[in-house]
Amino acid sequence: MALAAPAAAALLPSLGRLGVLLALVVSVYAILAAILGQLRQRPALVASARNAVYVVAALLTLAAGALFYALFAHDFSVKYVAEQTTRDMPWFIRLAAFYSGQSGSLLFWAWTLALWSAAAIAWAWRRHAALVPYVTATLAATQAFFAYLLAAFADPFERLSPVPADGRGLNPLLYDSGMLVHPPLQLLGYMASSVPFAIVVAALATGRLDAVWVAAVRRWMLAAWAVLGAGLLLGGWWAYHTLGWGGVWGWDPVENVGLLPWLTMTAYLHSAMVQERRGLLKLWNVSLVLASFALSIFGTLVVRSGILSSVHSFAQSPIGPALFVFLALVAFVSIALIVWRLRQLRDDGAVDALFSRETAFLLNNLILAAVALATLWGTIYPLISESVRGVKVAVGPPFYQQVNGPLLFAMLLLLAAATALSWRRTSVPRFLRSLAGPAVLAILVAAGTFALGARSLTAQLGVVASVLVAGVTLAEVGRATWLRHRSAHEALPRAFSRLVWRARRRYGGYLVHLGIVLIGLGAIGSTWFQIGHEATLAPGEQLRLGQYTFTYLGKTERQEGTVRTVQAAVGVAAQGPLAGDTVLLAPAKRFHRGWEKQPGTQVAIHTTLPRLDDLYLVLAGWEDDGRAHFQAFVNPLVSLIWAGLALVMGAAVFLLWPETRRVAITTAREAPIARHRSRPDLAGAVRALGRPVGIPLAAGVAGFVVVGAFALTQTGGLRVSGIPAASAASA
Amino acid sequence: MVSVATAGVRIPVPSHGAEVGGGPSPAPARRRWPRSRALVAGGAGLAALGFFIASALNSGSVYYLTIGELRAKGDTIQNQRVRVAGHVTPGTIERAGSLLRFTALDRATSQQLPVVYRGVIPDAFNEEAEVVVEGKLTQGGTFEATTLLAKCPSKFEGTT
Repeated sequence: MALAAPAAAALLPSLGRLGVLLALVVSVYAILAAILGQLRQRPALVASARNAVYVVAALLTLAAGALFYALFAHDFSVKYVAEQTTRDMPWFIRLAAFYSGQSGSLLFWAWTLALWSAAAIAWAWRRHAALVPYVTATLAATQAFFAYLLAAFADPFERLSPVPADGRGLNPLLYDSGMLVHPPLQLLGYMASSVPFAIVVAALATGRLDAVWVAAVRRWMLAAWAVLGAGLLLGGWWAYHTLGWGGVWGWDPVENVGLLPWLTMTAYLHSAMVQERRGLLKLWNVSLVLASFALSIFGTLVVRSGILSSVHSFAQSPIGPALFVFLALVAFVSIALIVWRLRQLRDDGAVDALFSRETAFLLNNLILAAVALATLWGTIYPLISESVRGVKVAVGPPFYQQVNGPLLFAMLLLLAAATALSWRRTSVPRFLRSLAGPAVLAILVAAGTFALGARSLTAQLGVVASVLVAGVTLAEVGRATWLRHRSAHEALPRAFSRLVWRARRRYGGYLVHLGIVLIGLGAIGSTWFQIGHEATLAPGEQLRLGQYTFTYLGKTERQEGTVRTVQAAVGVAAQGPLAGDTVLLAPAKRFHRGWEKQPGTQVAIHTTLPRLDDLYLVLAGWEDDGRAHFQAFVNPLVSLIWAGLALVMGAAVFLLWPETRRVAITTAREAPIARHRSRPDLAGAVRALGRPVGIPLAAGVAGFVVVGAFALTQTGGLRVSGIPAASAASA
Repeated sequence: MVSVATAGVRIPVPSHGAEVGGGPSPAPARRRWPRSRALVAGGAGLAALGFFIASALNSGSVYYLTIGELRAKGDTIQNQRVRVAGHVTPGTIERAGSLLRFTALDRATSQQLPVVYRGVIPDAFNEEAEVVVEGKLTQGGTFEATTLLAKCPSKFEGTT
């Protein structure tokens, strides 16, 4: 009995591997059953495919559980655990170790995809019954691919022999809360683009290209957009408070490929509204959804294959070619489906007038597509230059600032204009009247910043555009509230809340725009108005930077467990108008046992109020005589970026809130599948399989299982001969 | 075909003027952007974007060389911004205040390059780190770097 518990623990990784292999087999079955069910109109088969997706979710949850257990039980017989963790690692970093390595992060992708797919299919079962078979097939195909990667190339449960006493662990530079938020959100954002993709594939395959699929995709795309945006900005936050150069976005290839699907998602969320109202831009919308998924896969490929040189180095691995093949397949299927249904993707009408919201949304698509194209080109240009011209080049931030800067400026102007434009047509005088007040305000603000010392034309233009957008949006909301207050005789606050709640999509959108304006202002401030200086100070000496005086007070050293921290105390006082109190900053360097040559920098950041400057101080080093080297920055308005992110996330929750009065889109009468009972009908499925096509299919599946079981024994994942003695002792 | 469920479908209404046989129809004709005009506008926009990108690439991209290639270029590359990749030669790191000196090493050809850098030193920089420096090669053969990047700790280790 005493050996039973460690024996069970030793068996878990093998069970995990078995779970992954079975998930592969079952998801392949799901693809075939779903497609067959649709082609032969057999509801039983489609239900069976749906249940197969549920089974895959369960299997991968088992596998994920096994990996979590191995991580927290210090099971160093599992190679992944030995590589990613040590015994003395803090528990929250141990949590992050699940996805910090190649195979663990692939398991995270596959597991979350399985859960999300199961939820999507359960949701779509009655509402969009006609689309369910192909949605199931597409999601199952994606699942099967990731299970294949896990089974063939990156096994998280690979064993290590002899079992080491302690693991190697993560580089302590990654011991940061950023590690807990950025990678999972980024991965979830990529993963979540698969559901809109599956819905569009189903819509194209079944030819149901009316407004139904747009309504189906909306919330799934919104969720993916919000999660991916959060992942990107939190990555910037992580870089900001860790790396020491005071920047948020470096236009590194890995950053850029994450931005690309977010841009297409943003474009889609806007242009979908045009299709819902006017039946226009169908081809655009279909392409944008398919592109979002393809770009997510492309991003996954770039990050993991090492084909682009980047500061974020991830080792080259054989999954690169496999991902490339999958990407090619996705692109081929997408283009083929679009070409096949091209005639049905024609516009239902036409744009009435040049001066309308429809035109603005079309321009929106074009500008975002241009930004995406430019960013993509700059990112892959080194690769192209090397293979075509044989010359290796690097494309740095100046390129992106030069190209994306004006485009994003045009985008802000368009944002302001679009808010002032109505659907169908707007009269020019009315349009100009809406813009007049905010334009005056924007110019006043620019004059104000000029008076305060801002001299960069680009920055001033950005400020003007941002204030214009904010002004127009707030004026629009104010005008609508006032009208409602007058016509419905409601008190102002009540009028506002009812107005906003009744038209959540519009006002949620305006809130997102305000968040974007904040982020834009923060980006402008941190890019153009950052000042920095470095100095070597003895205790008591001072450094002046802008309005601030930094006084070095002294240095302390302490040891906590395996970490030695050397911390400096620096007092900062501000001069001039709006001076706050004196602040104490404590930049430090941390030395982790085993990594003494690579100390981690702890940047001291303090946001001053009300000036919204970030005081950013790095302890670069010190001498034996007590002097210390500092790098000091003043980053204005950076905190607006995080405030903007919070606002955008709040708006996203607001937009995702379910409608109380559900507009039932019944397609039940169109497809017998919805009438089918949800309970598994194995008999019916088996009967359907008894056809000529079923027997070879069953034989193939059985053969696969046999081969898989054999492979398990070969790789040591399943010890038939007994429980390995080493892990029984170490548990 | 287009489903009737879609909103916004315009069903053409025959105008009385046409039946009577003359005169312009009372309702304004639905203005439609001719396909050719849209295509030309789109093509022009794309061309403009391409031009824009190409010119920005010319000014925004720098040569990415190994140490051997840098030396081979000799005088032609002087005072031109370039990016050089290499590793840190162990034992050559000197920090004097905010100034950093080290020797970069091309592991493939064993060629070395003395580098001088003033600025924020990334945490990942240490002995045997893989580095990328951007800057100019001076007359004396020292590389004056304005940007120093050290490879971020590999999150997805290979087989090491």
